[in-house]
Amino acid sequence: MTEIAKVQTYELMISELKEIAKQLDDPETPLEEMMRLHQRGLALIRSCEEFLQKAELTITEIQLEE
Amino acid sequence: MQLTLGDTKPDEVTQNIITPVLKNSTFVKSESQISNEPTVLNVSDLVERIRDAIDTPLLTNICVQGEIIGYRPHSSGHMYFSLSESEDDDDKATIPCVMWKYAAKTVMFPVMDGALVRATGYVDFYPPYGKMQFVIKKLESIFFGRTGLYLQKEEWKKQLTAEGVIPRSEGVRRLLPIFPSCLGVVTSRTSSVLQDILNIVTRRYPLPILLAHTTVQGKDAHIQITAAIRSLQGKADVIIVARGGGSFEDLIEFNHPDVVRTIATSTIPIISAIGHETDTTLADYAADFRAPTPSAAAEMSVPDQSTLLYQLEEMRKTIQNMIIGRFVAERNTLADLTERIEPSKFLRMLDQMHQQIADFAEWITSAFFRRISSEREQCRTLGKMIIKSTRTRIATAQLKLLAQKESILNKYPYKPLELGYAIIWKKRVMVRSTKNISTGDRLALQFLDGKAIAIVESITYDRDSQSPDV
Repeated sequence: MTEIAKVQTYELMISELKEIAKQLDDPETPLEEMMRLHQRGLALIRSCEEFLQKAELTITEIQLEE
Repeated sequence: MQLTLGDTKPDEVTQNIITPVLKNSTFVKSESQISNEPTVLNVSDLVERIRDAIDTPLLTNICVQGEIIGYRPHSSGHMYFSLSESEDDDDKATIPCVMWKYAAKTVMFPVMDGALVRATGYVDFYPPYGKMQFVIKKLESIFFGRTGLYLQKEEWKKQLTAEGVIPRSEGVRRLLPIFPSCLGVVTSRTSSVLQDILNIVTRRYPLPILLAHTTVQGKDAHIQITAAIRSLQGKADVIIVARGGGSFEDLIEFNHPDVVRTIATSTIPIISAIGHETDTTLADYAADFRAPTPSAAAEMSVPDQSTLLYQLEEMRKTIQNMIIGRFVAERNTLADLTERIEPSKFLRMLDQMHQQIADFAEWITSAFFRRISSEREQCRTLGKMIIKSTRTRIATAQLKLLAQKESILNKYPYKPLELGYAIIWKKRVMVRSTKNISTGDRLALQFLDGKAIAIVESITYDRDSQSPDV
């Protein structure tokens, strides 16, 4: 995962991305804030793509409860 | 009540068993006893005779089928109930039964009133209570074989519906996580079902899978299935309970109340994919989602990676376009501002403003003069109006005056004198009628220009009093 905090799950990253898109769409958002959000959005996208490409299937058999 | 002994036919049994028994049984009377009074027995002898009589293969190791009524579980672990005909006619036969603790432990289905069962045991006579009873060694639910299984399933369905476990109502359905981090699978490790699921997940959205292996058919499979579902609680965030196609008997274990209750009370959403699409088990009623096949269940449980990657790419373009759009807008705004504060434009603006002021001043002056002349005009008009109305008023007043003068004059009592008339006074009272005077009266005659005195010589009354006779 890139500079995005490892702890963030895929779900959190996607919801932050949606929030960023909403703010970028708002003409009231100051220009500097827009540029920061833009960078943050691209970083999140990279990290999500990485998450998907790195995901792998592992299969573990668990012990049944008595 | 039907009495059978193993596989032999009842009528054969009866012939070769009954005759020997009757020969050597004490029950057979000697000739001397038949003719005279019966021998007197005490109770225990009678009980002994009864027990001997029922100690016959006819009444031992026999299998009875009927409906449980009056079931009472006992703290000792023994079971007490009666078996009666399963039809509802009134004169149905009933026999009290007992199942001692050691035998009761082997019963594998819920014993309850109304259950149709097959009991194997022997008839016994219990001296302390003087009670005939059927002692059961083995008890089986009548629900076996296909019809039985159907009845069993319906029985379970009725019971679970009454408890409110099924069907799972819309409002209580747990939503599947959009991005699961761990998938739980309850199936047999050797089944092709597991392979189908793995193939789908590998293609769509690879993630850790927890397999809770269980047998998926056969007696008591429900115990493993239940344990498998429980063991995944808190470990996976979505569970698939799956098995391949099979007969009704093969799938029966997925109708077991324990499995259904465990699915219903799972804290994790469950997708059921049991049997073919046409098969429905009670587990399907309790699950949050039902998939027609295990592969469909896998597709429901995880998103599709390629779709997500495509969406991310779209998102990248969107925010790119947004930032570019914003820059373009900001540049336009800047250009517009620059133009607006550009010097030459500024001067032109100043000239414009001067012009505006001059126009304004001119407008004010002309407006002022226009106002003055209109005021003058108004004054002139007013003046004329005043003069005219004054004259009118004077003339009106004069006319009024004349009218009043006229009316006053008309009321001047001496007005008629001008016309040649005279006013007659008698003792300072004006005489208006000949009735007010009499002969010899001294009257004063007033003329326009003086007075005269007259004495009345004679009076003649005129009927219509227009002119007195003179």
